[in-house]
Amino acid sequence: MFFTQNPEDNLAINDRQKELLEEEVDETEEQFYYATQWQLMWWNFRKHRLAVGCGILILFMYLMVLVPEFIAPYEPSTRNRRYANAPPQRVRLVSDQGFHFRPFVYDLTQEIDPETLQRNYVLDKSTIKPIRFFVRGVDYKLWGLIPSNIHLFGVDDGMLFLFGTDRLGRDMFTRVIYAARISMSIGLIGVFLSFVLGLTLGGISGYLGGRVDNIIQRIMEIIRSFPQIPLWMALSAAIPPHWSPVRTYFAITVILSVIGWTNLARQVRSKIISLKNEDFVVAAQLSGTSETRIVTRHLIPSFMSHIIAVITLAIPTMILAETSLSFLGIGLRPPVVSWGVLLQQSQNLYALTQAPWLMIPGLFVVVYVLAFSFLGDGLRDAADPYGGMKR
Amino acid sequence: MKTRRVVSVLALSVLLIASMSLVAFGEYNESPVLQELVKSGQLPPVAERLPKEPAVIEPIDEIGQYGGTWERAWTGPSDRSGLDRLTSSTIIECTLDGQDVQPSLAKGWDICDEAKVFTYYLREGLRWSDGAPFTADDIMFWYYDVALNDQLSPGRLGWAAVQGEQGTLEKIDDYTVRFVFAHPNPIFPQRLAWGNEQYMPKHYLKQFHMDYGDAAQIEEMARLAGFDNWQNAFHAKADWLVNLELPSMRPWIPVTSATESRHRMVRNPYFWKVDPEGNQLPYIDEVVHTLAESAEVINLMGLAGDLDMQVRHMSLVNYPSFMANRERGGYRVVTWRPALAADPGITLNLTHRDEGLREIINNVMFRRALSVAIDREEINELMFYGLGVPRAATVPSSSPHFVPEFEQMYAQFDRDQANAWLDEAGLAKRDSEGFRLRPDGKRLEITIDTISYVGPWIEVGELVAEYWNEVGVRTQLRVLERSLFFARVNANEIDASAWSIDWSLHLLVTPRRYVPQSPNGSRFAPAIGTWLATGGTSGEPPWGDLEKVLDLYEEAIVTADAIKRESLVREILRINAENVWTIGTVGETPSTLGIGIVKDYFKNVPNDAVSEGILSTPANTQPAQYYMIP
Repeated sequence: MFFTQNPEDNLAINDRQKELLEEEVDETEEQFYYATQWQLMWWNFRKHRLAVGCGILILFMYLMVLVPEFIAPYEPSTRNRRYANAPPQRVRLVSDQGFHFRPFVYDLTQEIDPETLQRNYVLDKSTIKPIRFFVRGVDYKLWGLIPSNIHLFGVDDGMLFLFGTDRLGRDMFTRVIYAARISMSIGLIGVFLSFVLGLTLGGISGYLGGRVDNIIQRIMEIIRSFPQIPLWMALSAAIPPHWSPVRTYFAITVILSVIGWTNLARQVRSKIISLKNEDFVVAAQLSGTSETRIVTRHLIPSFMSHIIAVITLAIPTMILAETSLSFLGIGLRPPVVSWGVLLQQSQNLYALTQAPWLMIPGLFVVVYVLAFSFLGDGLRDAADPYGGMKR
Repeated sequence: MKTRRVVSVLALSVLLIASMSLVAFGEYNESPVLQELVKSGQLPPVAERLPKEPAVIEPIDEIGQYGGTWERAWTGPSDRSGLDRLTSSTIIECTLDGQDVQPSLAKGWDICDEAKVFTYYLREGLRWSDGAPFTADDIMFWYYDVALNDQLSPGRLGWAAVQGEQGTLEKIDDYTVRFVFAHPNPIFPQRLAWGNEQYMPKHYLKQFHMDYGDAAQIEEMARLAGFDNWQNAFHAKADWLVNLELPSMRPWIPVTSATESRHRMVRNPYFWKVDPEGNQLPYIDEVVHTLAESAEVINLMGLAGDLDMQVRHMSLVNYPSFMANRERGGYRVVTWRPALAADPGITLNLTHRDEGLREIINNVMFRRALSVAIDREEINELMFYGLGVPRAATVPSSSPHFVPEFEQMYAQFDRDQANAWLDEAGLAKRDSEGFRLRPDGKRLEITIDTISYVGPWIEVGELVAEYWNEVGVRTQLRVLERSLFFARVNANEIDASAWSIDWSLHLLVTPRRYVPQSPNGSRFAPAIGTWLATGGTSGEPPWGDLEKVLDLYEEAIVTADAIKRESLVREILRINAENVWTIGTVGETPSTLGIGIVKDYFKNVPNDAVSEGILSTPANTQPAQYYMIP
């Protein structure tokens, strides 16, 4: 096989060889050999059904957190004394009066056991609360701009708790949706920044070599030699005390990524050094391709699968670690709602014995992390287009 | 006044001695376990092991039966204070209700010369757990050779000093010691009953002490045991949980290392308390603490019925689960009354660094407004199952200084009133989001700092922040790690904090919540606490009412006249209540050391007791008289 990774650049192939090939391959195969890198990746990715499904799921989740104010029926801090620690309401179609075309819930009535002080909820079967779409509820400003009070779903009067409520009577569904916004964005910004910095600086360092490489490597060594804990403590002191926890956490993730890119940069550099003397790179150089193009079109794609693996591993770590920075006062803690915070609040006997629905956020984390893993898996396979080719 | 006190104490002593003579002397009973040892000649008979006049403990419900192993749980050596408290044995001790002190190792006392001279009469014939006599020498040894030894204890013993002058201790005879102070020290008995170590076994420990033994030999011993110096070796030898050989006066003494998965303590054969029928206490033979990973695990063990009796670590949040599981677990649930003024209380920093914010916080109308903006009923219902008392932050009703009138001062929820007072305080202007602006045009923003704790401080903090946001005061809660929290407080870098207002039972013994006397304990004026702690080198000098309460406190602790002293304390409480330095929420909540699991066969546990650090609870309920029906 004398084709290189990228057929469109194989200008050196002589006509005779081309003729020979054309004789051998049928039309689809021809398409295969002349397709661009991205096309190849897409074709390969499409075959990976699970990855496609997960990709769609993730896309859907991101669409949802784009407009949490609209999706969630309430605000994450709205508390309701009458419904403290209420279990999830079952959405029903059949009542005593028969079948209903519109799904509904029964209202809950709180009864406090005078002896155990346990809050029990009984179904009030006389009140059928039909679930309606696009109902008017709490006022909000979408993205701080568009004032509205329309929520995706809700009940006309009374309350709807799909996932139950916590001790203060706050709707868990609402909290999970708002938590997703923070967990699925802020933590990932850090991962993304590390990725960009690591790729750029590692790429430059490995490809150019010489003095540039030397300077970048020394800078990286200096950064890596900072002891982390004292650095974080200094940062926690440097961040203005009146900043909100979310802002603080954002600043910290950005700063951490400014420090944390060195690992990826090292890997990128060594990969590039080992690849840059390969025939296909030399061929590209000889045919006058620019250096940026060689790095971005020839070198990076050839180890894209490795980078994707690194990133898909970093994302779940970031989500699960968001609360661990709290010991320095710079992580996420209540009243911020994030998946990590909600999970931390459910790790106790109380949730286990009295409010198991508090553990629902865990389900979301599992789904999200698994979806990312499968998506990453599919992407990794797809990014190595000739890897699975058996000819 | 002085004579009246002496007379009353003497009368009390006489009464006690009279009641003791009712005990059929010479006919003491003991545990069958010990009887065996006596029979085999390994122990002297019980009458020889007990003092001439043993301390007689009136059982809570009934005379008990001997035997049993008391199953408990702890989280390891860092949780040792649970064991310290359980077995606490002091010269004098606190009563069950925590209002007063009662005889213990000392059978009586005299207080004379304007509360400057305190004479304690020890029981004759008290013995250490190894059989050696316990005398005044053991107290002298602890005081002069350990507590006031520059090498062993670099810090002075604050609680045995008045106005910076250390008290002196004299040995009158083997069974009489006398503390003498330069100034009146009327709260000394309370402090003595609280102190954890007030004596040490001289006959045993002197071999490890530089002033008594051979210097080279002691250094060598310390080195061999792996210590840097003899002081550390001595402290380890004097620690009852570390050194299993250490003679003790406690009801139970450890027989296994503190790191064992099942920590065992067995009965002290020389324990010096008896019940009214002359049965030597404790009733229970053995106390076992199972090592648990966390407090959550201990709660789970309680729920499963694996613990015989435990209050420590039992969390209020699990109350309904505990109650619902009573029959299956075979236990009952007791609810004690922690002497908590607020759980938590919110303190605003009166010595704030930011001049603008400081001026606002120091406006009493502002603090009162924030206080009435809080819906305490709702907090009580949501977080404490209604078991607490919605109240201001004055001392709890179990305190001898309690004034009912201060309990509800500025503690009635009234949002309109709050808004009116805030407008009056010059904060009427609001920004586009509806939050109030400071006079200098900036948005008024307050951050409440707290930590993650057993009590629901985070949840209550969140609620308070919301109540304040609702009246236009932009408030956010920030949860910090414990040491970072204290670092911020010490550096005077906090706006406000949420922390339980504990240590409020005996205001004069632990004044930190009402008198700005401690840098990190009096969080309403940390800079003043720092000034006092550093002798004026940093922080800021006291001013205004803060200075006034400091003066009142200084005066009260040297006022021998009980009535005058009480009026000074009430004045401190009045100033606190009117100034609302600490904003109360819900108090007297059983969230920490408040609810307990007691097995059906476990008896003599009171249903109601005041729970407080200063009383070493459960020591004030006399664990030695708990018993188990076999």
